[in-house]
Amino acid sequence: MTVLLQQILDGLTAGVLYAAIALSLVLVYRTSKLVNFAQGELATFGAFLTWQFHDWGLPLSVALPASVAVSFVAGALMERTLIRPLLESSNHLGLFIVCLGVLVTLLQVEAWIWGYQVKEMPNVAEGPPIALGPTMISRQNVVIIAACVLIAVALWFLFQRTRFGLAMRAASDNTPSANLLGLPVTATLTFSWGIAAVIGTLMASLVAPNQFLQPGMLLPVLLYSVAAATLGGLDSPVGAIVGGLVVGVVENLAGTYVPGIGQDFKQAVAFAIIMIVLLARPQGLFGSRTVVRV
Amino acid sequence: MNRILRAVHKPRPSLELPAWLSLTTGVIVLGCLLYAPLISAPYANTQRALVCVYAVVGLGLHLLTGMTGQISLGHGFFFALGAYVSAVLAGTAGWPYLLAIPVAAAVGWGVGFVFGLPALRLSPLSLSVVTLALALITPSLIKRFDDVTHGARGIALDIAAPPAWTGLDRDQWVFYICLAVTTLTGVMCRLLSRGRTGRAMRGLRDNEAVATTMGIRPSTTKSFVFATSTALAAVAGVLYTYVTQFVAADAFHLTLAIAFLTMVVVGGLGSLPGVILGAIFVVYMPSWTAEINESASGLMYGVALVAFMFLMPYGVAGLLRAVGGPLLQRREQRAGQQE
Amino acid sequence: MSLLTVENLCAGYGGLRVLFDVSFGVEEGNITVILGANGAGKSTLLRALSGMIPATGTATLEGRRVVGRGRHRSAARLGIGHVPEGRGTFGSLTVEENLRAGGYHRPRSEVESSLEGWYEFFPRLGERRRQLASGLSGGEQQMLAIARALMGKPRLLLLDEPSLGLSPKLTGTLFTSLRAIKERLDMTILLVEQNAHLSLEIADDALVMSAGRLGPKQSAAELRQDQQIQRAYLGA
Repeated sequence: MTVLLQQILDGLTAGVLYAAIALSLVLVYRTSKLVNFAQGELATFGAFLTWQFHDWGLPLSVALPASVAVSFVAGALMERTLIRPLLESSNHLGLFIVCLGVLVTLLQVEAWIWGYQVKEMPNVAEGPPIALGPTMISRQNVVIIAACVLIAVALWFLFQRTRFGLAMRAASDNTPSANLLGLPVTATLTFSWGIAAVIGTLMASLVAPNQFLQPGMLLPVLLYSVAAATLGGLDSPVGAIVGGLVVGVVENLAGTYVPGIGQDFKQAVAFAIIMIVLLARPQGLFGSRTVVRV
Repeated sequence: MNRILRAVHKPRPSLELPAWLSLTTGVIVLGCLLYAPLISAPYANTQRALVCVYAVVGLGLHLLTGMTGQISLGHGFFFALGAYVSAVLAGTAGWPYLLAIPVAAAVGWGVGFVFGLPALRLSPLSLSVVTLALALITPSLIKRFDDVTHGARGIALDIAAPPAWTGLDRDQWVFYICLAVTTLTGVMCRLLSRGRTGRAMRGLRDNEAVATTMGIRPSTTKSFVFATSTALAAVAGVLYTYVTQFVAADAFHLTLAIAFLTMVVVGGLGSLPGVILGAIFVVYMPSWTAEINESASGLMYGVALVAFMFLMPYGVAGLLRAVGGPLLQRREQRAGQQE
Repeated sequence: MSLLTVENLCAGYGGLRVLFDVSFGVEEGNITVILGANGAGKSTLLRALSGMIPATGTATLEGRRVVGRGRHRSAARLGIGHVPEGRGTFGSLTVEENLRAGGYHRPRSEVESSLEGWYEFFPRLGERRRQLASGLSGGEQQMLAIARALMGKPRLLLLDEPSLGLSPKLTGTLFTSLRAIKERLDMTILLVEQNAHLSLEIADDALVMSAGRLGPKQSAAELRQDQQIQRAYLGA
């Protein structure tokens, strides 16, 4: 029983990371109608930046905000320079290829600058793990979960309580109408990409101490996050979070309890989730039906 | 400069070279390819054989992307499948190595067809997601079946030895096999794309609804094309084992899928000769850049993917068409005036 | 003086030209209807006026150019409210959020009072203010789209086939509302319609468009009597 509870807790902790990256994917998908496969690598790059700033002697409390700020600019810039021209000519094949191109480029730039040797990233919260009933959770993981909750609340506030958030939702719902009403459609696009990059960098920097900071750190996570976003519905932020947690728990339990799956083969669970959801219910749990058309 | 950029941004029909020109070029190129291995270092022949290996995968992807407008990142999986069919049959079980080619083709076709039946019902966006996922899990799939594949340790092979009567070295012999398979594949692709299936596929790509009303069954045609392209990837996987004499899980990472994609993009989406140019690019480029930094070749792939989409969306083949088209036209006009 | 003056407007899609040298004026406070068959270019005209597609020629609203100035200023900012064909409501937003999006550029205090005003004018929208727009009926969606466009306080309201997909009874109600909007707000309306019978009932001026060219302006009352129009559009 304790093992089961511990597995579920570990699954949720892992799921929080999947949820965060899935959230980034969803933010981008809602505005640009594409799955940015480079999202995970952008986040890893952000974590490297945090490490680099810290290595230059900045305290983590300065290094992290600094890399988050750089990420916002980088994400926004990627949208402006690489994505929008192709989006305007609705070249979907081209967008897919460019996203992969960015993924590979980032991966190799990381390897070039920082090499493949794992970088030691300090924890934000040090100290012995905290006991939750019969289960244990590390302090860093508590911070990670708190950060994800914070992100979710902040996004909810942005979408539901601000004028710009309203414009973001309207623009992703019906772009021509949003243009006719004079809503700042292009600004919402750029902003979404920036925010998506910020979420990635923040979470990647926090999980870097556990995940071994090296190029391609989040490639396996990308797979789970794509599964999470697909399960939740590609255009639903709530779906991304629920999907992330579900995928985290299912993956962990399957790896432990289903015979023949084991630690290596857990990735196949994510693949199966993607395939089954896309075939049986393409809009996912919370997505809107229009996803099917794309 | 702008004029050139505009010119390569337009889709163009493939060049219709005059028959005598394509025939002479073909004979000369083939002659060179047959003669060159005899006077080259083994390393050069190995690289040429690898170009053929990539070209076979590229021809399969060309069929898929060029004809159905869909793209797959999952062909690395089928490439691995073929490689392990060869490693297990010809290596572990000691079958004649050439037998691995038809077996891999059949297995690749079957698995591809079964995978394609559900996958091809998906939208292009979803298909890209699914095939990327397949590319990401391929190494762990291989490691999962460790007892057969020997996972990351891999299987060392000693196959494709040249028959004594030829008097050839292994690198020369392997190159000739690869060249023969590539040529056959090229001819087959040309026949397929010109024939009934080709028309059906182009119809589907351009307007699925209209094509359906004309009696083309989308799911069958697409699955057929997809399975054919995965079969070719599997055959290429077999050739790969002849060239490298070794297979291990780590050769089939996402990098391989990216290399395949780069090949198609650089050569030109939907151009058959472009595939060969793309294959040359992905094989030779790493050896040129390796001196700078070991990450440089991967970086080149990434930069090439982005740059080509913006500068030359129809690849090198598109550039050749943009340059060669007007030249050919002028020649025809001159010929017309003389008559 | 005309509120909107259009001169030699040409527009199309890609290489296909749809509008040929269209010139006309819309008088302030009037409902002007443009009649025409499917594909005559009516929607294209409205799209060109609100900058959705590129166009050449000139169009001025109260002396300010609205066509040929690039895309950097949206139609809404220039005082044009455009209710597109098919309504274009935000299905995943609530009724109230749709209206707030319409009033995006106005100060918050004005938005609140306008909201109440529209809930009074269209009580159905008031009852359903917390519901998602996708759950509304066709007629309610059309009301919402009109109210949303008017939330931006435009000088000119463009309406693209509002009767599309509505029953004759609902269309009648809707057109009565349009007349009321015109009178209460002193709103100038440019209406594009296939339903000549009902639209000529409420319109002041009317023009006929065919194959991308516009006929002369007539009074709606005059046009109702026109034998040819009766045959072509009124089924008499």
